[in-house]
Amino acid sequence: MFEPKRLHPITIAFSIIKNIKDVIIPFVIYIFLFVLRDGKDDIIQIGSESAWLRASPIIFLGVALLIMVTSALVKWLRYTYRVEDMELRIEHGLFIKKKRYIPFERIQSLDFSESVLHRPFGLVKVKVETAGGNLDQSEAEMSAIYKEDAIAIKNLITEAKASGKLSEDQQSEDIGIAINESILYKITNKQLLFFASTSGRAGVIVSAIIAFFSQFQDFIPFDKIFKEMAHIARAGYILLSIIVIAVLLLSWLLSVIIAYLKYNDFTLKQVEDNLVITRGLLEKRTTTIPLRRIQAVKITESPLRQPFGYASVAVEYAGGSITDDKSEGLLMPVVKKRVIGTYLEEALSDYSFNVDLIAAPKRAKHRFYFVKLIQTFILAAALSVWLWPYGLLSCILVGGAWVLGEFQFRSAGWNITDSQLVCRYRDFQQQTVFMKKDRMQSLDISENWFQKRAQLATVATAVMSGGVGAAGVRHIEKEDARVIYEWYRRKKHPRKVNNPGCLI
Amino acid sequence: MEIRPPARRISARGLKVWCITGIIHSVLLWLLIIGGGVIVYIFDWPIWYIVAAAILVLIITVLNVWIVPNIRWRRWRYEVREEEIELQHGIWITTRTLVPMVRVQHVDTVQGPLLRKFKLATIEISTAATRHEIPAVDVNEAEQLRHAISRLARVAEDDV
Repeated sequence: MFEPKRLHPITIAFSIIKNIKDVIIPFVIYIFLFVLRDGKDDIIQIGSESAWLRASPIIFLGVALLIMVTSALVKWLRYTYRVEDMELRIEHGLFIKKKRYIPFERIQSLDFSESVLHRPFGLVKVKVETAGGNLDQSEAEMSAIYKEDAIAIKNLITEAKASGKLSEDQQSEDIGIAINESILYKITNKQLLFFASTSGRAGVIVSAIIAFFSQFQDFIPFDKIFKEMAHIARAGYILLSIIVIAVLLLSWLLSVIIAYLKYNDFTLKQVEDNLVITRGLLEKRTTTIPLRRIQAVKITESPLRQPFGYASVAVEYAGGSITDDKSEGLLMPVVKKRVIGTYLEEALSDYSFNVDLIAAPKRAKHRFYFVKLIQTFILAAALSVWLWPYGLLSCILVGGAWVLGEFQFRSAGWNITDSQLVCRYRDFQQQTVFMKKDRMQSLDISENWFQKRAQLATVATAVMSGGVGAAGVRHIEKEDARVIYEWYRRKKHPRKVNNPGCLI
Repeated sequence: MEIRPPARRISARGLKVWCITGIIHSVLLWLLIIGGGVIVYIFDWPIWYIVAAAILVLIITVLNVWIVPNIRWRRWRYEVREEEIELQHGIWITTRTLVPMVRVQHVDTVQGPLLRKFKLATIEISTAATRHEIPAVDVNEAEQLRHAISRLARVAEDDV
C-alpha cells in the first residue's frame, strides 16, 4: 500500500476510447466535407492532389491514433498513487510533474463505480470527494484499480479517521459491513418497472435525435430525401404518423431500458453518519452522502406518478462534484408518498415529513394562470393565422396553460414547524422542499403591483447545493409571507434587545 | 402588519450615476437611429420605419434616463445590523431580502470608472448559494460596511 502503484493497464484502453469519443464528430464532419464530396465531383480530379485528399482520412486517422495511443500510454506510465503518512498521494504528468497529496481528514468519501469494462477484471473507478474544494470536479479520480485495493484504501481512511476520534482498533474487513449499518430502502421489481416506464427521459431522447439530425443537416441531403419522401407522404399522412409514433414508442422503450439498467437494485443504506446509495446493473455505482452535509430534502411528484401516490425523494447536499448526472442526490427513485416519513425519520430525524401545509388563498388562484393564458393565447392566435387551419390545433395550448395554472395553485403551500420550512410548488412536477432554518442562505419576499393590491406575496429561498438549490412558493397571503420572514430573522441576543438599531 | 422597510437609502449621487448610464445607453441607441435614417435616405425606403423606431427610442430614453432610475433609487433601501442584512429593491417587483450574518461568506466592493468618478462603490455580498449587491454606496461608507460585515460574519460563527 505504501509503495507507488500504477492504475490497472486497462486505463490505457479507457483513455483511448474517451479520446476517440472526443474526435469522432469532427472526424465524421471531415469525411463528409472532403471525402464524400470529392468522390462525387469526379471532374475536378487533377492528378496527385486528389490522391492526397483521398488518402488524407487514412493518414489523419493513423496520426490521430498514434498520438492517442502514445499519450494514453505515457499518462498511464506517469500516473502513480500511494498511501503514505495518512495521506493519499497521487503523482502524474510528463513534463510538469503534478503531485496531489490529500490528507485523510479532508477526504469526505470515496465513491466507487464499475462499468461493464471494469467488471470482468474486478476493477472499480474511485472518485475522491473532499469537503469544500472545487464544485465542478472531484478532487481526484482513479479510473481503474483493483477492488481489493480500493476497499483497503477506504478501510485505511475510515480507520485513520476513527482513531483520530475514538482511537478504535476495530478492523473491519469490508467497509460494507461497518459498525452501524441499516438498509433504509430497497427498490422492488414492481417499483423499478413503474419508475422506468414513467421516467421522463423519452422526451430528452427524442429531442436529442432531432438535435443530432439538425446538426448534420448541412451534410446529409435532406432536401433530396424529403422530395422523395413527399411522394410517399402525399400517398398518406397515415404512414408518416405511423413513423412518428413508432419513433416515439421506440425512444420511450429505450428510455425504459436505460432507466431499468441505471436504477436496478437501488439501495439506500445508512452507514454510521453517512447515507450510502448503490445502484445499477451494468454499471454499479456507489454514492456516499454525509448526513451533516445535507442541506435540504426534496420530494418530487411527476404528473405521471402523482395519480398513483408515488413520489421520488432527493437531497441537496454541499460538496461533491457537479456531474451531468442529475440523480446524484437521489435517495429513493420511487416510493409511496405517505410512507416517506417512516423510511427517513431515523436517518433524518431533525426533519419532520408529516406536516399540514397552508395553501395559497382562493383569490390568488387566477394569478397562477393569468400570465400563462395571455402568453399562450397570443402564441395560439399567431399560429392559427400563420398556419391556417392546422394552426388552430395550438388552441390546445391555451387549455393546457389553464390546467397547469390550476394545478400550480393547488400545489402552492407552506409550513413552518420549529426550525423547518416547507415549500411546496409546481413547475411541471410538484416539488415539496424541506429546509432547516440554519441551512437557508437567504430569504426573499417579493410583490409586484398586482400582488400588492391583492395583499399577496411570493417567497423564495436558496440552500447551498451542487445544482439549483432554490425553492419558494408564489402568491401566498402577504401576512403569511411576513410570518416566514419574521421566523427567518435571527433571534436577537438578549443584550442587544435594547439596542437593535442600525450598525452604521 | 407591514414589515418595516430597511432604514438606509443609497447615495443620492447613485441616482446621478444611473441617469448618466441611461444617457450613455440612449446616445448609443440614437446613433443607431441616425445610422438607420441615413440608410433609409440612401435606399429610399418608406420614412415611417425610422419614425416608428425613433418614437420607440424616445420612450426608452425617457424611461432609462428619468423614470426608471428615480423609481429604482426611491425603492432601494438597505440596513446592516449585527445579526442580519436587509435589502429592498425592485421597480415593478419589490423584493425584500434577508441575509443572516452567519451565512455571509465574503464581501467585495466593486467600482467602475463612473462610480469611481462619483466616489461611489457597489458592495457585493456572497453566501454559499446566493449573491446580493448594494449598488452605489459612498466609498467611505462602503469600506466601513465591508469591514463591518466581514468582521460580523466572522464573529457570528456557525456551521454551514
